[in-house]
Amino acid sequence: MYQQNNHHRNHQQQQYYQQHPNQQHPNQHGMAQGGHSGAADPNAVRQRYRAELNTLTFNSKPIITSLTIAAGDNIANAQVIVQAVEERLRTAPSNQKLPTLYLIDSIIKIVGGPYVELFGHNIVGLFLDAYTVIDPSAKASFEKVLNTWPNWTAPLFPRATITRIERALQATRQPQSSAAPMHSYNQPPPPISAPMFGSTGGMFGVPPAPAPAPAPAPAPDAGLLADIQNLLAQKQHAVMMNPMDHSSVNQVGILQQLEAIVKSSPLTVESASMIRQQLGQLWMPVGAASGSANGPGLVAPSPLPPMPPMSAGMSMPMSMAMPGQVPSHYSQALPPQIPGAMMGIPPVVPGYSSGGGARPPPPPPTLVAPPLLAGVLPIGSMGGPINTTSSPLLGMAGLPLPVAPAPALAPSPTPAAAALVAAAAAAATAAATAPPPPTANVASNLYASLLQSGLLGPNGTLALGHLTRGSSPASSVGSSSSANHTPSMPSTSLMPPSMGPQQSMEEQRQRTTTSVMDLGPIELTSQGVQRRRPGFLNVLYGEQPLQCNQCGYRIPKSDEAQKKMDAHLDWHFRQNRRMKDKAKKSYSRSWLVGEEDWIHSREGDFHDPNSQQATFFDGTGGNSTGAGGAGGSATGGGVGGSGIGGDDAGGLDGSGHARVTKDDLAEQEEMAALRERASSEASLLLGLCGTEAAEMLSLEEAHKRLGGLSSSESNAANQMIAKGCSICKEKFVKVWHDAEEEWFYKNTIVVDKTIYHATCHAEIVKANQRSQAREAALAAEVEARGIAAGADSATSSSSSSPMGDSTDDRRNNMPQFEDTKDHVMREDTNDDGTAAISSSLKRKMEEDAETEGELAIKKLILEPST
Amino acid sequence: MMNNMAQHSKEWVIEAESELRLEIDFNTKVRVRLLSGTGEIFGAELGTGVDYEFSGRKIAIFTWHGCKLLVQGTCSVEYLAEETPMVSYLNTHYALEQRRVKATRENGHGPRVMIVGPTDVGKTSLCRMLLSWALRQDRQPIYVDLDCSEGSITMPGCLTATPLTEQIDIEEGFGSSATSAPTAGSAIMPLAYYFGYPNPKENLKLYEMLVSRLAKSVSRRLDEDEAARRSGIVIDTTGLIDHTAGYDIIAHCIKSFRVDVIIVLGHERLYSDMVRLHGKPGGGAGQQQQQQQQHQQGAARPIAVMKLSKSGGVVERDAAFRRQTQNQKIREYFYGTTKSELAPFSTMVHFHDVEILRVGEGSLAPTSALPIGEDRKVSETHVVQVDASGDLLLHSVLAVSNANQTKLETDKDEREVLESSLAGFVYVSEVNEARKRMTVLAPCPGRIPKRIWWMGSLKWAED
Repeated sequence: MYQQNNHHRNHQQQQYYQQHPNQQHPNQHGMAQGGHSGAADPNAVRQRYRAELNTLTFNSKPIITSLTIAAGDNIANAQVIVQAVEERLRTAPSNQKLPTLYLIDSIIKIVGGPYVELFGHNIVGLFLDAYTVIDPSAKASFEKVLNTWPNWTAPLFPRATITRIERALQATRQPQSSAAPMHSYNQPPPPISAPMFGSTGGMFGVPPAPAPAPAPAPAPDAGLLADIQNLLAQKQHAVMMNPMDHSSVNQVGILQQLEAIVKSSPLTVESASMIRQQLGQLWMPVGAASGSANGPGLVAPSPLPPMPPMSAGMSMPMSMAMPGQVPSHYSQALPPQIPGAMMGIPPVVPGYSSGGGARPPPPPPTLVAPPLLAGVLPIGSMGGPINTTSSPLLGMAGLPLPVAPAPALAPSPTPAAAALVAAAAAAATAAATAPPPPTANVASNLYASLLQSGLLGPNGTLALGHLTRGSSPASSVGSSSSANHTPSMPSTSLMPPSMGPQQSMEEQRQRTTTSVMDLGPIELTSQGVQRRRPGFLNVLYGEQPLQCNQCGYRIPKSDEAQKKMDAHLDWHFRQNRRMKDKAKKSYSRSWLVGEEDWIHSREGDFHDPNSQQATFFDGTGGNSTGAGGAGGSATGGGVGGSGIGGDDAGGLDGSGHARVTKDDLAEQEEMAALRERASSEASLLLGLCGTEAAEMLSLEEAHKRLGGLSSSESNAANQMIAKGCSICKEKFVKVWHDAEEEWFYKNTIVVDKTIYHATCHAEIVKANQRSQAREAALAAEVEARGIAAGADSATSSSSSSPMGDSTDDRRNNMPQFEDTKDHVMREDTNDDGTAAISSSLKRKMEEDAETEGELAIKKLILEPST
Repeated sequence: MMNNMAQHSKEWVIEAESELRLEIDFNTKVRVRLLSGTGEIFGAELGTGVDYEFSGRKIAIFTWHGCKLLVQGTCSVEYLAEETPMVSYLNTHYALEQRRVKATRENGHGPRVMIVGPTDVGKTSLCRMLLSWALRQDRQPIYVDLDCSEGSITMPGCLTATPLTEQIDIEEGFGSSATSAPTAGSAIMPLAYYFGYPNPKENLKLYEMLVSRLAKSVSRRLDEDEAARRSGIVIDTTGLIDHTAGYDIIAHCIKSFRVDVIIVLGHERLYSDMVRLHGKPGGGAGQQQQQQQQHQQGAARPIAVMKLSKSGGVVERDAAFRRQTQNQKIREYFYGTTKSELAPFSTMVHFHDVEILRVGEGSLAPTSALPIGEDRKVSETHVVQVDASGDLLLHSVLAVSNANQTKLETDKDEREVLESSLAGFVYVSEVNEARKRMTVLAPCPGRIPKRIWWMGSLKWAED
């Protein structure tokens, strides 16, 4: 397996160095045979198929045919093949996407079968992602292919799928406002095109802002201007983020000049395209770093054909460099090619805590020799999905340009690096003069100043690329701060960006002890493991790690660690929330998945509620757990007769329902005592207890129950809470519930959209019922019909016991608070007294509302804190 | 359960690199809280100030840096131990971790570790440590449990493989398969095959068949699951180490899973035999033997064989304890733990609606009873249908197969059914012969997904 892989990689490497796609002689025959050999081992199939796919660098019918046949032969491994092809379409350079699409087209039309469905899963995103980065002529071909799908002799993709693509395409053809919104760098941009892309829109890390299909250069200036403005906005943002970043300040100035020039004077086509190219380098600053490998001369901004930058990752997806070792270019944190991983979603790099990296944008066409991409990725990746805005006119050259953080270009503030940059600048200026500027335009003069300012050109990037190459992947952990901090010194590039050099040394030392490789080779022998190695505990127990306070989870400090810890805490939070819900739901063990499912799913998949028989997690969408299942089976779904089953379920469900968490125990007891005292209103209280811990209301819940669902009512709800108990006027006590991780109001219930202390309310109800009973007794004496009435009321209230109701409600996915409300309202109709109380209290409250209005402001703190 | 926590609570100060060993009875609960310092239980780190509750467990809280512990409740045994093999265990982990790093760098596969040794030497505990440590370093190893006597993940009698992605729950051990309930630990999703006996010797052929099948599934998953491939697998085995069957089984497992690290725990002779049979210690130069051993598989990497000493804390678990553990396991399968209670589901099943099978000769007449000249047609892996009537089934725990076969005519059918993975378990709580129905307890509501059920030797008296 190793051998094959190495070979594979070498092959690809060669591919990069040979710039002519046509020179790559795909040894199709060998590959094809491999593909056809019908081996059942999916991995072998995948590898062979992938290898052959990599030869599909130009539109070659024989290769496509051969790949199609191979797909047909390996129909058992359709999934694997589909994954490989999809991966290829995603990662192929933009000028090689079309043949891949042709291949998909060919497979679904000729082979069909499972392929249609399998490709159908992702086709929308794949198609559109590819479409946005290819050049216009290829776009036309893409559209042609698309047009053949709806009316093909055999049904291909569902009509809805095709419509989605078509609509998205239509949208891209419409003119688009020039300035793409600027985002914080570590956030994915909001899915602009979400409506068009439907649910997948978000998943694909935002299909680049739809670019108008640019007619070749009718009005270059406008587009150029837009680009400059985009860049300018980006720079300004960078300056805002980091005012100390002088280079960005400089760049902003220059860009503003440039903008003025472009605005004022018409440009020749050539000069416009040159500016654009230069700008292009600015957009992908590190990408231009090719200079470091090939010498500045190669960075001549003549329009070289874009080269395949990404496939390097295909053979060595998981490689990572370890600190303390000079990594080869390939051992940088290339993103793992997790099958099915969506574009733009940073795949989790398992294993090495520092190995995070986002999948780079759809092939950034660079002038870069492949090795340097290693340097590109970590920086460009920034720990999050990259903004892939393919700007309309930059795209004209067929080059989609990733919006890489421009500040990375900034010359380092440190003298050493500055010197380097200066030296490189000198070399680069020479290089930059090599391409003859076609016209002595004002704009072309600008290049020089742009170059010298370090804004663009090969120099800054040269230094940068050179230096980042040696950095460990740990350093490349990106964040917005790393973007603003120039990783142009080897030492700085090893540290989390926000830290100063001194801290970085500290950090580095710590890092060295936390890598298992720093322990020196440990032999797997009985003797080899006996020796105690210095610092060996630091690998597991780093010096100053972040540690979760709810479990022992720890992780060495780094920017990425913080993110992971956040994710971990989020997980706890969700988990605890679910624990909190435990009392009102019953849970069961699920059936195990079958062999094939087990093989093909990943852990995350199991968390998908749909993949389980019993629902898994919270969320109103899937509350059918116990009751739903029981109901289903009671209606005859079981293997055998399920009459008994249904009964049993009811019983079990009931016990699960009545179960309380330890934390609620005290309150429950209190409640029970209360219930005993006021036995006459037992049914009402029971109704309330039926919902989870009725006398403890989470802020959110209280808010909701008071009707604060819409924003207009929200304020009213807050005010009502702020005013305190509607009976005794005392404020509610807010307590933090550790286990539930939420603020709660103690001793609080909401009845009929009015908030009370549970005890106060109970007292009143009790008093009222007493008086009512007295009246009833009186009436009974007078009318001699009291007993019947009393019995009536008793039956009606006991029939509305919480058990049956809540079961029904849960089956219907009714939110719990509605259940309460409903219930109480029913009580109200049964029991005029309660209704009277509520309404009288309400009136009283309304009066109070005015006098105590100002108090509400003070109590804004009671609002649910986020 | 008894509430005796208030009665007894004790603070322990534990020196660095020593451990507190606790044995907790089944009918008591003990809470452990880390007050300061660090501590870990079988490799999983304790959080400071968090209460962990145990019942019916034998645990050791180890500290690398020293710690203060609060133990609430009464343990049947509690003592401090200073001598532990933990340094060598941790180094073993590091050595494995270095292989994982290398695998990541070279696009290879992570170590496939098999732990062998007699019973009660702490094999499962060592597995847990190695896995926990790996998880703490963000690995996603697969835990393969071939110890059919215990069933750390599902039930006794199973062979399982479980991908681990989140820290092993301290209280629940390996935990159990996914539930709809939220738990502090991870919901794990094992792949299980049913062997049905506590001892592989009961049906060697079936055992090996299932091991092969499990290995195949695991390797298919590893092909796809990159993180798991880099992290490797850890295989727990039965304590069967006799010269004949035991060695055969070990050899078979090594071959099936392409094991490249064998850890022999607490058994000198076994270690020397393993070295002789499967590799040279050091994992380096044993080419010649390697070639002899592995020419069929063409394994690229020689097998490293190493021995580790067993921890002094390992206690022999007597039959009664094992039985109780087993009962607890079964109970937990249906009803969950006190921390995370589950609601099983009772349902009536008509005899006709299911097919209850069992494997092998156990239910057959002895050869001597056959007519003279008649050859026994059945093999060890013959599938026999169990008559549902009678009290044979009562109180049995049956395994629900994922098999979809409707007929069992050919050997191929049989094999396919035998090699099908499990969907779960049901417990027969009542058999009504007159109505031809039985009442079974299923883990979750709704239809029982499949109609082929296995009967093994597992019985349970629901309490």
